[in-house]
Amino acid sequence: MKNTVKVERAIKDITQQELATAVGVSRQTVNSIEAGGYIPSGVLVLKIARYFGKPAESIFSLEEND
Amino acid sequence: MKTNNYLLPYSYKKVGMWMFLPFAAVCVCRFFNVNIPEVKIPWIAIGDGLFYNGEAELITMLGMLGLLVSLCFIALSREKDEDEMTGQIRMRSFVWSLWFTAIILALAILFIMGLDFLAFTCAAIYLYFLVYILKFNFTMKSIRREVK
Repeated sequence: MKNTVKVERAIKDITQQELATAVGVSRQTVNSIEAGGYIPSGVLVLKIARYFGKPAESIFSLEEND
Repeated sequence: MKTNNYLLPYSYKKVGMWMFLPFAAVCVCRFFNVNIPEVKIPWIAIGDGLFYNGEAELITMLGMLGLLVSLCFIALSREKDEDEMTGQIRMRSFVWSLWFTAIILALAILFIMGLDFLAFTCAAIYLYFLVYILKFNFTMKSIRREVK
């Protein structure tokens, strides 16, 4: 699953720590999500989407091998 | 959405770490037959048929019990920044540790005989905890290092 969290974060001009605090996870989790090393749960996907005010599908999308 | 993950508060991890060294030292001394004093007390338990009614060695019993409690405190307490990714790393480390211990146990079944095998199976119970703690903390450390 790929995502545009890093891009959305840059648009909103916030740090990883700020996003992490807003959605209730640690900074390393946000870092791993951005790097594609961790696939977040449905709840976290929805929280991130709500924080950026966009639908989840516009931030997270499936890859061919998913 | 809150779910109970059955973990102890973070402070238990510190307590477990302090408890680990003395109790581990007692157990290692007993395992390798190092001379430490014995304290025998009357004890009733299960064994030797139905009920074992005789003596128990207090230092060994407290050492093994203390080691188990300290390992539980270290392994089963929250991280400071516990979240869903930590939960996933925890679960993966549990599985990894289970495989590792199973392989070691299989090798022991094949290559260790007699009373040494019984001593090893007793140690293998603790091995599972130790391998899990090492694997989990090593993974967490490498992830935290990546962020820095």
